[in-house]
Parts: sequence; structure tokens; C-alpha cells
Amino acid sequence: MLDKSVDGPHIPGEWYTQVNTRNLRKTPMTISIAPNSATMSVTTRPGVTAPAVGATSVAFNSTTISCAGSVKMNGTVGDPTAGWLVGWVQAQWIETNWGFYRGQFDADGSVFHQRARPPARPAQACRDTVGPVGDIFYSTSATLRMPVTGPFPQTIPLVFRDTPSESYPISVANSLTGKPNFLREVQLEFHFCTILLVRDPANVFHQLKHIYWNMRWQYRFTATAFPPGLGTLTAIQVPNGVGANVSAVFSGAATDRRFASVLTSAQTNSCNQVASAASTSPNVRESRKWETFDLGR
Amino acid sequence: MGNFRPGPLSMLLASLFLMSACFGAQGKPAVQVTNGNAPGTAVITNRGPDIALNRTLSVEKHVGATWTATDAAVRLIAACDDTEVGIARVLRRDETFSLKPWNGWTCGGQCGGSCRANVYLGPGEFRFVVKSADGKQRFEGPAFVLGALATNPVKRANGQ
Repeated sequence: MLDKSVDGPHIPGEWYTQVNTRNLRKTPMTISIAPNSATMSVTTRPGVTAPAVGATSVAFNSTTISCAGSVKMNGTVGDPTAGWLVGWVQAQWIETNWGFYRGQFDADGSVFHQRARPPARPAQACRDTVGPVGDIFYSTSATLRMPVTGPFPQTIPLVFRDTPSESYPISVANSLTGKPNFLREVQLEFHFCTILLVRDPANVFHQLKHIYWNMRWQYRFTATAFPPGLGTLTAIQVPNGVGANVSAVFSGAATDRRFASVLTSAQTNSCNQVASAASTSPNVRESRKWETFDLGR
Repeated sequence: MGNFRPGPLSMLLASLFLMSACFGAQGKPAVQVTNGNAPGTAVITNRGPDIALNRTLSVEKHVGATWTATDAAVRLIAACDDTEVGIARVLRRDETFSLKPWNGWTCGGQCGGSCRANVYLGPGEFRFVVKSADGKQRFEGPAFVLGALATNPVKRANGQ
């Protein structure tokens, strides 16, 4: 039997089939998404800030991207609203993330930390959620995800916010030389796709609008004293290496095969968990001298 | 084998034993969560027998008339370089624990870190909830207020 629930927004009043392991039953869904009613706008563009050098680590912070969205839901009095939700889903589909360390002297060696390649990061794409990845939605907090409650027609407003960040230790140990190596350069790139959508009681996600956005940092660090730290480590921006951008708003579903498979499918880890694990256990390469490392590994 | 049915007296004794494990001498919870000097700081004191606490604290937000769970990831740590082994942290009798302050962000709110999805949860009224490792007991702290992001005096953590 054809399961129409996978075919996107349904026709109001149409009967839908829902596959059950024991039997097939029919669920009426008279609530519907008003055609072409969804809106989405970027209210605050994303931005990045200069690295914040602390005593033992450097923080790469951003300024918050904010969006507003809305969708109108149609229905009639008495329609069951349980199971209808309006919210956001976000995927991260590109990550560049490496740090280069070197000792005070050539004989102290150098170390390369790669956080964006396997095995540290098993795959580029991940679903980006504030809470558990099994929630599917970016966030379950009020104003970021809303239930459909009626009365109808009901226009449901939403907001979206995200403030990505990363952190690198200033000093790591080089096991080959037994000397501390100090942060010399970091490159970060995070690319996201954020989608406004509606989930219906049959657990079908109807994508309505989406944007692409990204942020990137590339800085070299110079120590004025050893060991470097707060006040003695200077960050110098690599030309064209720093910025943030956001696309226009696109209507309809994001079908990009580079991340479409992670949007609503079962996932083991959120992007936060993936990034945290890669930070804790990066791919490490060491040298007994100041080395130039292959960034692709 | 015959069935054992606890009588009223044994039920009462069992209840009293459970209460004595959860509450101190003055009827207060054995584990007390109090706020520190600044919003997002807390001190946890155990007035009862040693207890294994979950290393993850819940943060609840006052929404309408109810306290609602949030997605804040707050750890039972006193400093960012604390070593966490296992899911539980045993708090000894009369031990006092000062929580590494939380600044209102869902990710990296205590020590910064690797965050892709990150939301500031303020402004609003919040409370910490400490849970026993077995999940059977919860100890609620008093409310504290976080301001809007622009006015929140707690700066972004940067791993220090």
C-alpha cells in the first residue's frame, strides 16, 4: 500500500495511511499548512569576534545569528492538534578545524591537531541540536519550537538563535621531544543549513523555508614571552580568513545530498557531541622539529 | 513460597527510613542547594549520609506557573580542569561543594568549549536541580534571575 505520508504536505481533509508493524490504520488529519504562508527572515546576521586569549586557552566566539519565522495553520474547531509542531532543524555540513603548535625552539618540535577528519570526526555532516539529537528539532524551548493549538486559522511565530564557538588550549605536550608546544595557528569553518518546518502527527516533517550560513576564523598566534598566555599571546588575522555570511531565504525543502540524510533520521550524536569528542580526541601528529603538516589529514 | 504482605507498621517504618535518608534532622533535604553571590552560582551541601550524585545538573526555567526543564548542559564541577570519572560524584556527609558558575548558555556555559548549537536561555528565573545518581531523589535549589544577554553580567566563558 502506498504510504502517502512521505510525499510532503498533504491535501486538507485527505486520509493518510500510517504503517504499523501489526496492522494498517487510517488517521484523519484535517489540520493543514496554509499554502505559501511560511515566512522566514534573518533578523541578525552572524558574525565572528577576535579570539579571546585566556590564561590556558583561546576562545573563538561568534555573535548570534537570529531569524524570525512564521507559518499559518488551517483547521476547524475540534480538530485534534496533538502531534503538530512548528520549529527548526539545523544541519552542519562542513567543518574545518585544525590547530598547529610549535615549541619555543626548533628542537622543541611541533604538533598538529586535526579535529575535522576521521577518526576524530567520523563524518562532515551532523544534525545540530541544542539538546538531545533524538529530539530532531534544533531546540525544544518555547519560542524556538511551538505546538499547534488553534483556534484556526492560527499563525505561529518562531525565533531562531545560534552562537557557535570553539576553543583551543594554548599549550600541548610534544611526546617526541618532551617539550611544551604552543598555539601557532588555528583555522575554523562551520557551514550550516537552517530549516523552518512543521512536523505532523504521522511524524512527517514538512520543510517550508531554509537558509545557508557560515562562519570562519583563521588566526596566527605570536608569543612575546614563554610560556605564552594572557597578555603574552597575540592573535593576528590571516588575510581573508575571517568572516561570516548568510544566504538569501529559499522556499521549500533543502535537498542537498551532502546533509539531507541527517536532517530527520536517527542519529547517534549531535554536532555539539561530535565537536566535543573531536576536541577531546583530535587526530594528533607530532614532529621533532618545526614541521609543515598536511592540512588534509 | 508464601507471599509477604507488608503490614501498616512495616510500611510506616519503611517510609520513615526513606525519609531519614532523604532529609536531615530538621526535616530539610539532606542535600541542600543554595545560591551563591552571583546569578548562576551555587553551593551544594550534604547534611545526610554519603550520597552519589549525578554529575549532570538540571537547570529549570520558570515558565508561566511551572518549572520547565531546559537543555542547559551543566556539570557538577568546581573547576574546568576537574576530572570526571563515572556518572556519579559522591558527596560525603557535611561536604560542601561550590559549583563552577553557569552563565546561561546551553553549551559551554561553565567552561566554554566546542559548541555548534548554542542558545542563551535568559532572561528569566531559573533554578538548579541536583539528582541522586540512581535518579530517585532530586534536590531543588532556590530561584535566581538571569538578565537579558546585553545586561547579563556573567561573561562568556572561555575555558578559564
